[in-house]
Amino acid sequence: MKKLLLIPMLAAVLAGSGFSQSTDEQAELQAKYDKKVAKEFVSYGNWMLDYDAARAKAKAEGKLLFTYFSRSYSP
Amino acid sequence: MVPYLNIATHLEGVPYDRLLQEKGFGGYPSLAFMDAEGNVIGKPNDRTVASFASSRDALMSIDSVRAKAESGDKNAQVELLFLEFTLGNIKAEELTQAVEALAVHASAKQLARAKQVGLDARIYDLYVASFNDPNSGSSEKMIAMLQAGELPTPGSRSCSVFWSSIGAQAQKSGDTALLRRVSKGMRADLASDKQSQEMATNYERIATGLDERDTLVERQDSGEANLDAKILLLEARLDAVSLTSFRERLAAALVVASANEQIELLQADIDLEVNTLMVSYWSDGDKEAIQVQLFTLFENHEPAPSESLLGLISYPIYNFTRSVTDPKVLDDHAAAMNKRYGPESGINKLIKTMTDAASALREA
Repeated sequence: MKKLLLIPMLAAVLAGSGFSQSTDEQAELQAKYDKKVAKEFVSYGNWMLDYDAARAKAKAEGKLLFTYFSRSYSP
Repeated sequence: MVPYLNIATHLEGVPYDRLLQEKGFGGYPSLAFMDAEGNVIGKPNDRTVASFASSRDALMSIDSVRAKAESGDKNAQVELLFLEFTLGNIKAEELTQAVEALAVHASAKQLARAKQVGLDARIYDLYVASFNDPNSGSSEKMIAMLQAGELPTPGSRSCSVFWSSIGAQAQKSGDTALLRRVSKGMRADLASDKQSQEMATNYERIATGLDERDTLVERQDSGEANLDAKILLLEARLDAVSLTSFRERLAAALVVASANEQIELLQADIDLEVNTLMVSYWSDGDKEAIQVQLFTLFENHEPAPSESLLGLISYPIYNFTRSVTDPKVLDDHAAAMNKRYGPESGINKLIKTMTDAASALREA
């Protein structure tokens, strides 16, 4: 059980490390994001990716937002 | 409802990249119901489909129940508490206390639900306590709950930690009956969770292996000699022996072991030491001292710890890297690890982290 937690813990530390990011790292993060949004569930669920646009749509249609928080920088 | 997917990227300049933290959530993935202004009006207690469905149903009915409650309907007041709990607006303890105060107006079903909510919360608290204090006795308390018939809600996060905590304890103590009970519980209560089903299969495998161990012990007790190595190796392969017990029996086992068994026993010895150090690292161990010990073992020990353990030590190495001010130290460790495990090993990214950090220190 504890072993399973090591990867997210490491990811959390890396995330908060404040290490300056190089262009390469930015490119890598962009590639990870692109891979994430290309996943089938994103289009299948008609997920909106723009927070402002999603709120505007909810307001116009009198609906609530169902928000799924995920991340692309780490598995 | 409008489905909105917030993806944290860590890319520079991306808006709402920390929305999860701004909305008060603790980790990924998380789900939330929000109004059009972005206010969180409900969040499932568990990250499960069942919990999501309950939250959705609570949102659909809460307005009418609240209206009844405000008009003086006592039973609706009780029901409103459950809906607020389902939406994450009140904690389990607040719910159980409030329902207790309104007990005379609650139905038997509502009282049973409140009791179950309290039990689920107690189980989860025990699980959290086991991380803060490895000697908390949480697993033993959960076993006592199991024996008393106090079981968590199937499919909940409490259910998941309940069975896995007891399973880990059963594995540690070599209790085959308990391992099989855990496996049965996981199969029934966490049927849709792939990871739990894999754990159930593993517990069955371990129980079968321990049966083999018991057979060997019986043969040994009947006078058959030279079985120490086979018994110890079986326990090590099943991860069902502590480092202390292993080392107490290692010398006797090596004497009767075949050449291949000797190799496997010595490998099991060092791997068990690394695993034990990591358990200590994540509990109350001296982290700095353990980091040094890990480097010593991974760079110098013969035989080398198994490559499969490299993932386990990622965090200590990273933590060590951040604390070092001499770039040569980092380069030396990176070179030593690289020499031993190679650039294609699971540690290549961390070796790069060390060399990058060394370069940054030199530039600074």
